[in-house]
Amino acid sequence: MARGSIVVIASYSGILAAGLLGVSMVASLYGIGMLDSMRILITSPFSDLLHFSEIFVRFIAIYTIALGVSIALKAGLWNIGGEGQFLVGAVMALYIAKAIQAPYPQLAMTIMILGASLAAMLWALPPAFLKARFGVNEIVTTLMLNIVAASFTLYALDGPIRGQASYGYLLSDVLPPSLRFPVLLRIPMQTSTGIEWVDTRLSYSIFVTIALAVVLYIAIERSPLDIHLGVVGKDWRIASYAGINVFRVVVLTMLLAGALAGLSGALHVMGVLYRFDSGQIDHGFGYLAVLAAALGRSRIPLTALTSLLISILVVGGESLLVTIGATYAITWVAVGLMMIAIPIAEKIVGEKR
Amino acid sequence: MIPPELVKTLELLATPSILAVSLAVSLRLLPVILYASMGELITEKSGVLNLGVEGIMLIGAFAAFIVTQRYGDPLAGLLTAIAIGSLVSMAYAYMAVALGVNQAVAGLGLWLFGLGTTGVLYFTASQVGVSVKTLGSPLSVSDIARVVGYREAAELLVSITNPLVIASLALVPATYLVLRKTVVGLMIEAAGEDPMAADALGINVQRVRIISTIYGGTMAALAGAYLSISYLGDFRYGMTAGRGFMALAMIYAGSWDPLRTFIASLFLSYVDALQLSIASSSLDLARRYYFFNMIPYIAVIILIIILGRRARPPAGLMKPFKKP
Repeated sequence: MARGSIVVIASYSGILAAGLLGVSMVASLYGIGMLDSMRILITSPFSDLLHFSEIFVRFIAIYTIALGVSIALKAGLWNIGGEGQFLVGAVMALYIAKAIQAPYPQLAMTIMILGASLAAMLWALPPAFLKARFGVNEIVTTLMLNIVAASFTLYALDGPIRGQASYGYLLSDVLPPSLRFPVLLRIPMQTSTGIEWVDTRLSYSIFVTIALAVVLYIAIERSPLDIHLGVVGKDWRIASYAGINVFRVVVLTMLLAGALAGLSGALHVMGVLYRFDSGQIDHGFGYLAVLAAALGRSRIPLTALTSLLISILVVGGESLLVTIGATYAITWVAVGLMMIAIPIAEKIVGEKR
Repeated sequence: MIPPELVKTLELLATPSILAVSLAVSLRLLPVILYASMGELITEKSGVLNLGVEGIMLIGAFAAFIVTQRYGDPLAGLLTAIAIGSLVSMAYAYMAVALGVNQAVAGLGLWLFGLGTTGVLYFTASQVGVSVKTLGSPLSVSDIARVVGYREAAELLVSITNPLVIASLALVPATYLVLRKTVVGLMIEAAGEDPMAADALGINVQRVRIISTIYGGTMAALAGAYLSISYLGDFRYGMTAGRGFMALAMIYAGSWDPLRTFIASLFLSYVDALQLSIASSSLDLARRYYFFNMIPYIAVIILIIILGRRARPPAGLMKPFKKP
């Protein structure tokens, strides 16, 4: 066991090193030393409370999607569609906020969250059905729908949820304060008039994510369902011999993954952004969540840790981008290298055990 | 309530000239999908799934672009793309076949790696926004249109005299013949359908799979190079826009048959060309380009539902083989 855990830790370090080395190598194209860029990557998320709170802002978005990705992954299904389902959820939440007049804000917020999840769930239905019925590769179909979702979001920002004060830009109205999650953390800032308390972007929405993670952990990972999903992930034929309804398992897990990604979009709008604009189309949380779930070996608690780790890297990466004036594409170098390193590390660990 | 775009689109669809121009444009769009899908078809037939096609396409597109921009010779760019594409797919083949790693994760990683590196290099190493000399038809649309009098005919002539378009079309019967009529095709099919039996017959399954994967990746790089230095004469971050994944989907829709894959790809390219022609027909429609941009991706899913329902992948697809 001790030897096994050393190998596992070594493999995680190797995956992390692949990402860090890749980023700092690419960053050196911008004339920054590799050690300097690694220092910025690792230390800047902890440099002050504002940066530190941003870690959790990203964590909420990534982990909520990753929960669904990892549950689908237990059944051997890759939901790459989180990226688009997130957008659909965000758009739907804003649309509901604009369309309905609920007597209580709490009721309106509940409808926004449920509606966003439901819309994203429907968005995940075609890939789920095609996979379950005809065995069509879900990676390809969910990815196609991501591109459709990006266009759909632009369409929505130009039509149904277009802001009244958008001045020709593609952006929505700001959510009224009653429909937002309250801010969780305020930090003191020194100003000319004395100390002022400033809002961070971290809100109570983090408790929705944590509560859901606990519920899903108990309902799925700590129940016979976990084994059912695992058997489906191994071999569909064996699963149906064992009396498992493969069609139902595949469709439901993919729909659950879609709903969670849509929820993440709604939480991001209601807790962080309060409005949506065309700059958010390439948010990237869906692909980061796939990395988190793959790193977390589709286990819910471990995925929390890997999501947190990725959030730290993303915040550090953004500081690095600002420092050297680089493009966001640099993130995908790191994510790509880490994803390539995961199965290699798994292979090595698998053979050493 | 019917959206005004839809009404305008239907009106335009009834005009013969837009249908004809789209046919010419679709022939020029086709090679992007066709090179990638014909290459990946061989890879998948041998039992390996390369989800990194999109990434290799981007790498090929960028390699061809930067060499052409630096040295002014598109042919050198094309050859560089082929060389780099085969190197990258060699690395992937080593991981997928020799190490036998999970092909879904490694392929997705390769895609994002290609997206990231080409993006960063584009903004640091190349001159952004400076387009390059293209490799294509010796004819120019405006010259022929002046002689012939019909713009549609001129577009069509220019499309079919592009050597890279001709080569991509020739690839379809070539792939068909190799797979159906040669020993090599039989070896590829055996390695993909039943690697154990193939091994018992004395076929080196690992070697067949590695070569097929390198071939498929090289074709993907060629598809990317065509996009950057023949179709557009420029590079943009993430310019393939899911076309590598479209190529994978076309193999599904074509049930792993070269001719059916070709027909599906042709249909998709036509839809794509129609969408482009309609969106660029008036400023009003062009402002709402995203409305049209969705169409090809939805068409892919519809194509899979209609054509790919009965498709059965090679039995050994994604299953690593180790000699017992």
